Amino acid sequence: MVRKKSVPNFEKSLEELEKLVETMENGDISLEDSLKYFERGIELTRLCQKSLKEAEQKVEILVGQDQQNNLKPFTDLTE
Amino acid sequence: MNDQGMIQGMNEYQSSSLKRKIYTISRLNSEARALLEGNFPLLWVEGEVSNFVCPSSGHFYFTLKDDLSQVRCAMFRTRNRYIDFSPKNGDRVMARVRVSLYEGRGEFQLIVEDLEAAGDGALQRAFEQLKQRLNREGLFEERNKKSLPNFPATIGVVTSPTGAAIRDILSVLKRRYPLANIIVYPTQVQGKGAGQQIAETIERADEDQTCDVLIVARGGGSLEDLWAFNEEVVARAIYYAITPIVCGVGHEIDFTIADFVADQRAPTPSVAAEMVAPDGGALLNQFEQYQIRLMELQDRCIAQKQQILSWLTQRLKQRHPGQQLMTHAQRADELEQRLLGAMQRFLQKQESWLEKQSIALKHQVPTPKLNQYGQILEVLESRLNRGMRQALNKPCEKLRALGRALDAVSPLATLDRGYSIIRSLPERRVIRCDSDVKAGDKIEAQLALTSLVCRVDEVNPINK
Repeated sequence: MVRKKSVPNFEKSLEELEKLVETMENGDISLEDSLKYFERGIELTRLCQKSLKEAEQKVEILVGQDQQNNLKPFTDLTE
Repeated sequence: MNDQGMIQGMNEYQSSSLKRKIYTISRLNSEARALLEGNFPLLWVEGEVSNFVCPSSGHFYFTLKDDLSQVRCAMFRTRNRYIDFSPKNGDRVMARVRVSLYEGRGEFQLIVEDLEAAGDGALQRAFEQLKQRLNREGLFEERNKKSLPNFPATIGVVTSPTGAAIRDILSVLKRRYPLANIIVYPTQVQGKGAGQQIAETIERADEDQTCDVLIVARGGGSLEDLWAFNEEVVARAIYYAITPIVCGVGHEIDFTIADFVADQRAPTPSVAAEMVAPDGGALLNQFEQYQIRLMELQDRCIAQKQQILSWLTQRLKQRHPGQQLMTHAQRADELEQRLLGAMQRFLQKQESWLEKQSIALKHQVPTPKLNQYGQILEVLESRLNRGMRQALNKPCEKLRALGRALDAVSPLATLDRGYSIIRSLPERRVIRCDSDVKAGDKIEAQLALTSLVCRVDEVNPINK
């Protein structure tokens, strides 16, 4: 029962961004490459920012005592 | 507080305040007390009771201690009448206290508001024993601890669905990292069988690897309340779980066995939530920083290329034949100028030399000398002329005188008178005596106006 949302991999994104920035910082790359890196970088940051900003937390609770793990939306019972 | 002392203290203070700030003991103790009472909140302490006394006033006075330190406590009658046990020396108690100072003796002390027995001590011993055993077994070892994922997609929470802990955790996660899914694994967290249930729930949550990280949590409570988290079965469930586990049980001061075994220990459930989830705000900020940096770098790259381009253009222009020709032309012009200049300087030098020479020569011109000599010559000429004339005049005079004298003696006059002069021929020697002539000789007789050639017929000397 795998239900992972399609969220960007922040770890990889941050790593890739760091590499892009480093490459660009070292200079000595063609304008075409630089533009390519730039576009990729902006794409990555936009994607990550978008998913961070638009995220809505999904909270579920496990119900049932058998080996069948049933999940249903969790509402704070104390409220 | 002693009023007399207070007044005296103030007088002393006033009289010497200009020189040094001298406190009375009363004032010092009073201020220290205010400081202590103002800076500590109402807090819970746990310790062992000793030196317990209860005088006729009904107040309790005792000392609370642990292994290293002790502190004086006072519990006034107004408070101690609410407690349902009478403490005795050796009891472990939990006391809700205000930190204060007994000014009369300058003693640091706690004013106890509430007092509870802290278990029967057996729990505490059991806790210590289990802790030591599990520690020896290596369950707490740092190298067995797993690191937490930086960006968990799914976070599991093992706790009571109705407790304060789940509320705190959800609120923190909502704020920090709404991106993660949360699965609540409900369990009883206190009471009989709670330990077993907690352990089973942890195992179940770990079983299918749905979660990237688990939080095992419970809100604050007494040692007994938290006891389930000190059970061995919970410790082992945490230890054997593959999923990294953060334990947040009780409050800052509460340590449970579960805390020691967990991969990370959090002082509270909220902090546990902070530990498992990255800070979305900071992350957003980080991405923003990357964006800014990327833009800067792109600008820089373009600027660099532009610079290179303009540099190359510049160089190309320099290599342009027209440019080179111009450069050469300029060089030629320059050389020409230099040549002309050199020439001019040379000519000027020559000219000035010539001028110098010509001036020198002018000083040497013969005209004045010639004039001078001419004049001398003229003078000499005139002198010569004069001298000549003079020289000629004199002999002329003399000649004329001589002529006249000669005239006077001239034989011509004699001849006029009839005398002649005889000369031999052809010698034309004057014949003066008989010896100068012989018969037959041809002679010449000179008369005044005529000459006669004659033949001597005879020579007759005349005797006298």
